This record gives sequence, C-alpha cells and structure tokens, in this order.
Amino acid sequence: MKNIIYLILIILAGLSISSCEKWLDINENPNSATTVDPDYLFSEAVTAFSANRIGGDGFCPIGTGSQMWSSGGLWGLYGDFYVFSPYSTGNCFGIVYGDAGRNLYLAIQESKKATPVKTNTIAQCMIFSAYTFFQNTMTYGDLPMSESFHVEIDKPKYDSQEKILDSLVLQLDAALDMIDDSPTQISTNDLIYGGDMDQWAKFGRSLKFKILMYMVDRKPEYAAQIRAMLTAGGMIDSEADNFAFPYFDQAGNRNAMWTIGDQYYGPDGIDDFFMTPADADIMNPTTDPRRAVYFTPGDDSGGDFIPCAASEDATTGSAYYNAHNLAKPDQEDVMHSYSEQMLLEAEAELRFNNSLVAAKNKFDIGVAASLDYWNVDETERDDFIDQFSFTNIDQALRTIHEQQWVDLIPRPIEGWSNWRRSGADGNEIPHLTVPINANYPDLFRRWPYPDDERAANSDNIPSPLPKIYDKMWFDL
Amino acid sequence: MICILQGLTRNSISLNAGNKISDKLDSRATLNYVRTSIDGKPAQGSNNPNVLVPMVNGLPRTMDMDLLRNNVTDSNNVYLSPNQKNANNPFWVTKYNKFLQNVDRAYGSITLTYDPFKWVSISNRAGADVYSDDRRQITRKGTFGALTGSFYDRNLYSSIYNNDLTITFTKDNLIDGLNLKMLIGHNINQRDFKEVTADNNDLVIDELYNYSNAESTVTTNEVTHRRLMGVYFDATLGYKNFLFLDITGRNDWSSTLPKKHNSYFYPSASLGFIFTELLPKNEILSYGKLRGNYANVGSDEAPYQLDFQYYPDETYFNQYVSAGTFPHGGVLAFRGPSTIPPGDKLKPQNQKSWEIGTELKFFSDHIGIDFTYYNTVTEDQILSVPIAESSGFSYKKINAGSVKNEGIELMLTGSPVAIPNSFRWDIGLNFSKNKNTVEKLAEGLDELTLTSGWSGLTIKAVPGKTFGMYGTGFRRDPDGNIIINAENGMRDIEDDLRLGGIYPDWTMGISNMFSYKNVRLSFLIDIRQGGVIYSNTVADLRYSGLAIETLEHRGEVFVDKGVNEVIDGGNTTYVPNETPVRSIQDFWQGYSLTSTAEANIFDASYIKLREVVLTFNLPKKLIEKTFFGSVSLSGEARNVWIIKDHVPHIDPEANFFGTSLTGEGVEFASVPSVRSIGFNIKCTF
Repeated sequence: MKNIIYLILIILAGLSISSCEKWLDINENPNSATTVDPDYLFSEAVTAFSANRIGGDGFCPIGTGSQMWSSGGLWGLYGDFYVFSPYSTGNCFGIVYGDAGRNLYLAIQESKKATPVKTNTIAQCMIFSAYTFFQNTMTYGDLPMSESFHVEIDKPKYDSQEKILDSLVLQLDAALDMIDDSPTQISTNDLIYGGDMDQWAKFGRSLKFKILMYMVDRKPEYAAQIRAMLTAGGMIDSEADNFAFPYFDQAGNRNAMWTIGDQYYGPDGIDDFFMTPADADIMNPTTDPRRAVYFTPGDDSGGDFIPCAASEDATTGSAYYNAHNLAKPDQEDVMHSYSEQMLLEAEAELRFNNSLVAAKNKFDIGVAASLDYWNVDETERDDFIDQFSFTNIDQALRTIHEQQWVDLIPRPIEGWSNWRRSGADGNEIPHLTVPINANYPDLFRRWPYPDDERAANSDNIPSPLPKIYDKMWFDL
Repeated sequence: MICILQGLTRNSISLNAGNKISDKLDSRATLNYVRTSIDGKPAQGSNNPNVLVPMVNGLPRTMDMDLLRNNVTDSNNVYLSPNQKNANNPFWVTKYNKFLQNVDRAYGSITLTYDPFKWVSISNRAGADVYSDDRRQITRKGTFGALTGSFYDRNLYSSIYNNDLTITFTKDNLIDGLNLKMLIGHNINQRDFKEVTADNNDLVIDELYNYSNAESTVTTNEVTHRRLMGVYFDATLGYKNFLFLDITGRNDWSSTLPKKHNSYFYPSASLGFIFTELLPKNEILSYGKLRGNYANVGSDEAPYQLDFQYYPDETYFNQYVSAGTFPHGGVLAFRGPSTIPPGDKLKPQNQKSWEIGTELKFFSDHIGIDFTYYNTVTEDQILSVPIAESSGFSYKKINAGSVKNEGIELMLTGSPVAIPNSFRWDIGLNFSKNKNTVEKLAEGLDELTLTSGWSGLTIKAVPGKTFGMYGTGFRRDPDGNIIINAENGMRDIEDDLRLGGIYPDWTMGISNMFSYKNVRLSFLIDIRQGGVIYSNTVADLRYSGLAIETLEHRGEVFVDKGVNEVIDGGNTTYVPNETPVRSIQDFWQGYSLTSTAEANIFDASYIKLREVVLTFNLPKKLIEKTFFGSVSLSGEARNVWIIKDHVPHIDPEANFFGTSLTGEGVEFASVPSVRSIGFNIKCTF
C-alpha cells in the first residue's frame, strides 16, 4: 500500500508542478495594449471632456443654477432649486482627473518616451489640461492639482485656487515655450486646430490672459502682465481661432444637447429651458438680435420674449430654448471664442489702460463677433451695436459685463464664472436674487465636492466643507 | 410583478447512463441540456425609457387604463403618450419594447471508477458546462427618451471544463471501532468567456431590428481565459458512530494571480460528538450532539487584473442619452486604466471561519433544539479600493480590509399537542442574528463605497460599523430639530449622513402545522427586525402627489415643524419656524426629491404571513380500488399578508440590486413582489 501511495503522490505532484507553470501562464490580456500612440489618448481626453460640459452634466444644471436659463419648474434637473444630481457634480469633477486628465497625463508620458520627444504633443496636452483645470477650479474652488497624477499618491493634497491659477499660468508659459517647428504635434486626432501650433499658441496666450483677468481682482499686481499681453497681442484674433470642439451630423457624433432633444422631444428639440429675467432685463431693452437666436417666444406671448424666473412654473407665454440654433446636431462646443476674447480685452483696456476708446473698439468687435457667430444680419448687427456708447468707466464696465453675460448664455459654465467675477458680492452684473424655491439661502457660487472624493480624500478636502453659496478665492 | 405579454419557457433533456465494464471498472456519463427563453421581462432602475414601474405609478389616478390600452397609437400608427414630456404608455412598452433572452446550456460529465482493491477506489470525473446567452433589449422608434429607436444585443458564451482525479482509501475498524476514509485528489479547471455586444441606435425602418437598419452600431468584443490547478485531501475518522473528525486541505495554483503568489493552501477541520451515545438511555434527552469546525478558504482574482494597459474605446459618456461613439469625426481613441493595477503584489484572499453548535432532542424527539454560533472573518480581500478620483485614478486593486460576520442560528421544533390518530400541532421556530462589522479597511481609507445608486445614495463600509446606507438628509440643530429655510418654509438639507444599517438585527420564521385526520393546515410567519430600506417608488408617488398622504393640507396653509437658523455675526440661534410653504405641492416636491434620501428611508422591519397551505388527503378507502397509492389535494397561498411594516405603498422586501451585490435595502422602481394562489393535486402510484 505504501508503494501505491508514493506512486500516486509522485504522479499528482508531477502533474501539478512540472506542467503547472506553463499551463497557467495565460494571464496576458488579449483585449488591450501595453503601449499606444499619445494621439489616441488626446482624442479620448478632449472628446470626453467636451461631451461632459455641453450636455446633461455640464450645461443643464449649471445653466439653470446660474440663472442663465430657468427650468420652468418642469424639467432641468432642479438646478434652479439648487438641487444638483450628485452624478453631475461627480462627473464634472471627475472628468478633469479621469477620462480627460488621466489620458492627457498618460499622453504626456508616452510623448516623453518617444524618440524624438514629442514636444508639440506635450504642449497641446499641457494647454488643454490647463483649460480643464481652469474650468474645474471655477466650478469647485480649491482642488488637488500639484499632487494629482502621481501613481504613488492616493490622496493628493488640495491646492488653493490662488495656487492653482498661478500654476496654470506657469504651465501655459512652459507649454508655449515648448512649441517648436518639429513635426511632433497631434494633427489628425486634433479636431480643434488640426495640429496648427500657431493657433495652439494663440489659444495658450488667450487662456493665460483670461486666467490673469480672473486673478487680478485679488492680485492687482497682475495688471502689469495684462497690460503687457494687450500690447504684445498674439491671442485669438478671429473666429477661425475659436477654441471649439466639433460635432458632426452623423450617428453617434452629434451634439449632446441635440441628442437629448432628439431622444426626449422629437424634431423640434428641447423646449424646457427658459429665458430668465436676468437675460430679459439686458436683451429686451436693446431688442438684442440674439434673443431670437437663443429663445423662441412662447405660443401665447404675442411674439414677446417673456422670461420665466428661476424655479417658477413656466407659462405658455414663456420664451424657451431655441434648439434649432443652439442644439444643432453639428453644433460645436465653443470653449473659448473670439467674441469672449475681445470682450475680455475690452474690459482690460478699460480697467488697466483707462482707455474708453480702445475699450469701445474692442467691445464693438467682440459684440459683432458674437452676433456674427450666430449669422445675425450685418445691418441688424450694426444697428444693434450703434446703440452702445461708453460715457464713463463704470457705465462702460457695466455694459461690457452685460454683453459678456449675453455672449455666454449658450455657454453656462463660462457665463456663470464670468458673472462671479463681474462685481463684488451683491454687485455682480446682472443682479440676481435667490430663486424662490431654492433649497439654500444664498446664490449658488460653487458645486459641492463629490461624495466619493469626500470619502476617499477626507484628510485633505477643505474642512469645513464649503457650502454651495460660499465664495471662492477669486470671487470678491 | 408579472407583466402582460411576459413569458418564460424552459425545456430540458437529461441523460444519465452507466456501465459496469468489469468487476473493478465502472463508468457513468451524464448529459443535460436546458433551453430557457424569456420574453418581455420588465426593466427596472432609472435612465432607461423602458422602466415600467414609474410609468405605471406616475399615471394620474383619474386616467382610464382602457384608454391607454386601446390607444397605444393613433390611426396613422403614431405613438400616443399620456405625457409627452417624460412618460411612455406602459402598454406601448410591454407590447413593443421587449427584453428577450435565450440561454442554451449543456452540462455533463464522464466518470470512470477503478477499484483495484476493496479499500481503494480511483476515480476520474471530467465535466463540462457550456452555455450561450443571447440577450436583446428592443426600444421601438417613438419611445420617449429614445425617439429614434434602438436595440442592444449582448451575446455571452461561457465554457467551464473541470477534471477531478481522486483516490479514496476506506478502512473500517482500523483500530477497535475506528473507521477511516481518506481521499486525495487533483483538480484542473479552465474557464473561457466571450462577450460580444452591439448597441444599435437611430433606426431607419420602424420595427426592423437588423444591424444595417441602425445609423449607429457600436460593437464590443472581449474574451477571457483563466485556469486553476489544485491538489487536495479529505480525511474522515469515525469512532464507534459517536465521534467524527474530518480534516481537509487544498492547495491551488491560479493563472490570474502573480506568479510569486499564485499558490495558496487552505485547510479545514470539523469535529462532531454524539454524546448521548455515551449516556444511559433516558426519557428526557433522547439525542445530543456537539459540533465544531474551522475552515479556511482561499480564492483568486478575475483574469488580466495585474498589469497597466490601454483599452480601445468605443464610446464617450453623454448624460441622459445614448453614448457618443468613436470614431468621432473619423478619429479613434484609447484610454488608460481607471484602476491602478497591483502588479505582482497581489495575494490570494482568505476567509477564515469557525463555528460551534449543538443538536438536542428531548422527550422522544418531541422537542428539538439546534443551535449554532459562527464567526467568519474575511481577510486580504481583493478589492478595487476607491482612491481619491483627484489622484487621476478611481481605484487601486489591493488586498485590503477585514470584515467579520458573527452570529447565532437557533432552530426549535416541538409538538405541543400530539393525540395519536387525531389532532396534532407541530411548531417550528427559526431565529438568526448576524452582526456584520467592518473591522478595518485599507491603510488610510476611512470608508469604502460598496454600492452606489442614483442621487448619491450609497452603501458604505466604515470601520467599527455594519454596512450602512448614506445619503442626503435634513439639516438639524444641536437639539435635533429640523432646520427650515425661513425664506420659503422648506427643509434645509445636508449631505453624507448615515441613514441606517442595511442588515436586520435579527430575523425569525415561525411555522405551524395543524393536522386532524386527513386535513392539514400549515402557515409560516416571517419576522424581520431592524435595518432600513430606501424607496424610490414612494419618493415618486409623493413627488407626483399620487400618494394618499399628500392630500393632507392640500389647499391649506402649511407650516412645517422645525426651526429657522438665525446667524447674527458669529452667533447662531434657532427660532421656531413660522414660514409656511408656498403650497403643499412645493412641500412634497421638496421633501420627496429622489436626491433627498432621508425622506425616502424607512424602517425595513416587518411581520409577514409568508405562506398558508391547506392539504386534504383522500381517505385510503376511497382509493384502495384504484391504481393510486395516495391522492392529496391542496391549496396554497404565498406572500399572503403583510401583517405589519413601516414602508408605505411597497413590499418591504423589494430590492433593486438583487442578492449578488451589497445593495440590500434599495428599492428603485422595482417590480412589485408576487402574491400567488395555487392548487395542487398530488398522486402517487
């Protein structure tokens, strides 16, 4: 019996060990790759980021929360009740670190490994990354940045908004310095500029200029840099330079708001976002041609553009979202526009060069660019612009901020950010009041940090947690 | 809920054949084939236009259902909706938007057994279990939320091949009264899996579910392979039929673990002692057994989880609508992993458990007690631990944490009345109490999200606490009063509050059976005490003003009970709220928002009459001249009566996540449970 047991044990041991290693060596994933061209990581990052900001997560709740739009009390995710889906607040936070940020970071790592180093690719990724972080700090305030994207750090520390904005300026300078003549840029996969590094440089400078404009109220010493940039130029100077991500009228590639309209509303698109009193108070007195671009008069309005206050029930007379213009299937996602740039420069000329003339000149160009973008008739455009005159700094500044608001109505994230910058607490332009049914006592100025981030990074997240009505560093 | 036009068909064939080839060699083969077809299974959850429950619950109570049933489309076959903003006609969904599933499964084995000696048996069992599972979700053109129509195919193919070679030694009376049974074995196991999906959107021709009829078709394919090899033994010693010792051990090698950690050993031991065998026979204690065991179970991980990889991406996320697709504008995309892989650091996970128990029977088995105490600790769990998303990654795969389950199970049986050949009353009681505690998480991790659902409702593991539900709740002052917004009379909210544990404190089942001659009546009462449930259905009904409680104060001035917060400089004080809500509709819509989790949390305790069965056995003299051995008629009702619960409008046992996830206590547009009444005729020949 002993011999039999020995024999069996030997057979079993032999079966198990000798052939075991080879038989078990099958854990290489046939569904994925271990290395990839950074171009494809870049296209992932840009597309995912854009889709997030223009659809159900970025546009709808921030549009209604900021009172650039109202929900009519019917739909709109209760943004103007100040109730925000944790999925939206989580998705917008996460996109900058996840599908966008992580893939940009990995694209930079892959570019550094390449021979020769893909310097222009790195510059493109750094500039786009700066844009994403700028948007995120405008939405959440203090954020992890300096310790993000280090595999060994699970809980990155939070950087102050001031530090983030300063770092973004340095990051943009570094990216601009990196741009060279080598054919190392992303071209085919760059659906924004097609690899045109001159345009990337213009956008990089424009973004830096914009960031400085957001900081200068807190750091007046930055006025000198702003003045220098106004003098040096080299920023976006035509609609062709718009930093915009395209959508296409083909299945799966259409604008997210169009898709929402298509899947919930049918051919006439979304009709459940409404003009707010803030919109109407600026646009109605000047019979702004963009009213008909952005809104459709309600059936029982007699053709007037009648607003609907935030969180109030809309009526059949309320002017509503004009999906035929704003949510075309191939409507691009404009992230930084010529009109926005010119209106910012107009403001800067006024505030830091005290030049009403230069400001008015750029204001006219900016407003014209805003109307041209929406194909407003030239005569109508010029008649509209002729209404405006700058008589003094305060009046001119108010006019510029009002036109910034109107220009950015289709882009709520930028519009909301600019509004917070447009004046000290209570003096922002336009003047807003807390929606009657809001669940918080003051105006909405930031999104809450997502639950998951609070749970996983509790040691570092600001404590006490800021309320959604607490001001950020840049917001006076 | 069983829906109209819903069907399930199952056909199966089984074959079991054996052949004794010689005195020492025996063979046996089994083969089973099962085909299961499901047609029209209702969807549940959210973000899906085919979810039926809110569709039905959301209808105004004044709506004539026949009107909906008979007018799904107009004369031009254009779909009619009860509310074109956000609702579909449920009859449209049940008629056209089908979930179809066909599962073909074949499994079987061939066993060869060779007995070279009387005390040795060598056996090899080779088995296979293969299935294909074809699923299709159809959303017809015209469905709100997917007006352009879509259909989604998901085809799964799985095969498991397993071989066990065992040698069994049996020796009775090894030493005086000592019996031995010893088994040693070798196992190989291979699992192959393949999944192919096709998401087809924007259909050209209505009701034509062909890939070429979709403007957008996104396909994915994935294959996985994993292998496991093991050797094991199982030794059983029995002494004079009252003392039993069983010792097992197994060592596995897995393809899915790092090579340096892919071997793991796990033993177990159990001891049973029938002590009444050593006592003199007595009237009181007729049977007594003590038992105890210890077990250790190791396990591996899914394939391909160790290394850093890039994945080709098919889609990008669009909130509320179908995903965008790559190529976008002709451009493809790849993405890096959201989980930091463990590399070669990953170890097998390990579960250790021990239990002690006793079985006692008294008074000639009229009263019985079966008691068990158990303690299970899972260590080195392989988890994708959430890390701060701001790190750039969402998860990190590591061995982490320790979860303990400790509890008792008690079963009492008895016959309070037993009159021979007449009346008898048998009663049984099952009591169980389990305490689930998270002992520790990974270093630096304060809590772990186990399951998350819509609107921030999460189930988390927090050290020192049982798994709990967390979400948005009402703000309270230091005295516990709800803080009301002085501007609008509505309740203030705050995030991330613990709303209760998800598991019951204890459960109990009481069964009773009364029999009198040929009639038998039995019923079962189930009791659950403790834990909470979140009900989205209640939230929806209240939000829409369709629940009866929303009638209270309708049209009246209503001031919610609570306090207003008054902040004066650095001082915060609280004064009684005097601000009325603008309308009771505003109140319920604020109160019952899906995202205000606390308002929709209820005590999950209940008492239920689970089952009633009445059986009548035909007297023997009636059938003695027939070919029947016995005939019984019975009527039975299940899920009969919720005697007591704390959740309005739904069954307190409704559950969205099913049993496979740590999602107990979450009800999200779940299909209502079934109450059934049936009749049986049972004949023996």
